[in-house]
Amino acid sequence: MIAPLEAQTLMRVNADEFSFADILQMVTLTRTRFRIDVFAATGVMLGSVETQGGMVLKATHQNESGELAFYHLCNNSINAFFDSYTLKNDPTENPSQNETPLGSVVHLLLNALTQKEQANNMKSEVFVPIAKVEAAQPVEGTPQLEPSSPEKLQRDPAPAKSSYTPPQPSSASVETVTVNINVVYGLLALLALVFLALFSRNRR
Amino acid sequence: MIYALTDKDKHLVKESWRLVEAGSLMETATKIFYDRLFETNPELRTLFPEDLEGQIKKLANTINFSVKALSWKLEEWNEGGIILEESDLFVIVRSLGRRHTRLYQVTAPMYQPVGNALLFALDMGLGEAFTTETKLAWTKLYVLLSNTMKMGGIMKTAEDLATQIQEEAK
Repeated sequence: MIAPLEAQTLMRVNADEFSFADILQMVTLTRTRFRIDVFAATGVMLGSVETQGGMVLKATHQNESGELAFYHLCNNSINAFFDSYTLKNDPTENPSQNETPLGSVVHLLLNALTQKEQANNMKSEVFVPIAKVEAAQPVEGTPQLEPSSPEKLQRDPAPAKSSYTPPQPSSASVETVTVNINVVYGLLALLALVFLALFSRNRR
Repeated sequence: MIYALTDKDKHLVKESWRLVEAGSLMETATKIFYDRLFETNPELRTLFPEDLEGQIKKLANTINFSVKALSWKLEEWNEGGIILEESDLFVIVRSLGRRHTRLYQVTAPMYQPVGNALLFALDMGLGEAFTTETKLAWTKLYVLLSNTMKMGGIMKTAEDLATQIQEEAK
């Protein structure tokens, strides 16, 4: 039987003092199990995260759970406040031994940042459809979202912004030119036929 | 900003601290730290006692404890068992921050010159062994510790919230 986790030591922090990412990183200093509840400024609970020893064990956000919930909590916790608790349980019946972590705090935070950056790129280019298609392509050097693994901690945390290639003139504009030339050819052919018809009529 | 320590960062911090210990540089480094701090920020001198002897030992012990508390790898995340609050780095540093804010009136901007002086002292003490990577690892550790202290100073505990509710009800 798994012993129930007992919540102890509440601490409340506002998002304008420390971000969700800040709190998550600070609690990597402890090896005890920690729970962070995220609330909107209205007091409505948005979700929660449980960590232990620098690993994220659980994340929930509204009806979601897992990595996706973690990313949504990271990106939707502005103007929020956080209640954090140390969770204690019977040392002989530690439930964490039966759990698989979602990944390390560092790795998941890096992924959340990458996701946010990609979303921002897409937003800023929403009025240029061709550029939007370019932004959705994997940019060389940018870490892609993959299932977590501790080995990936060594990779460069900064997405390679410099490797982003501005959108090149697209094939759509080339097609437009082709269509225009075809129209001109068509008109010329029509004119030639008219001339031919007139010429043959005059000869008769 | 991502400043949580990776296993590599922990290793670099521990190795460089081992050199400080091996060379008996701990007290020298902390002395360099205070000299540098008061040289660059003389206004902070009033926050410390006249005789710095005890203070030097306290700082050396705090850094020593913080470095020793990092001696675990991320893969050992669930092997901690029950960590007593009195030996948990996070809880200790958070309480330290609470005391510094409430008793000694330490404010958030004061943490920056302290961090600079710490990195300067380590640089002086370790010389070439204080590589760019090692400096980055120590910077991350300091940001983590100082942020935790700052949070300790501003966070509301269950008692604070209860007092607030009582005062609002009056």
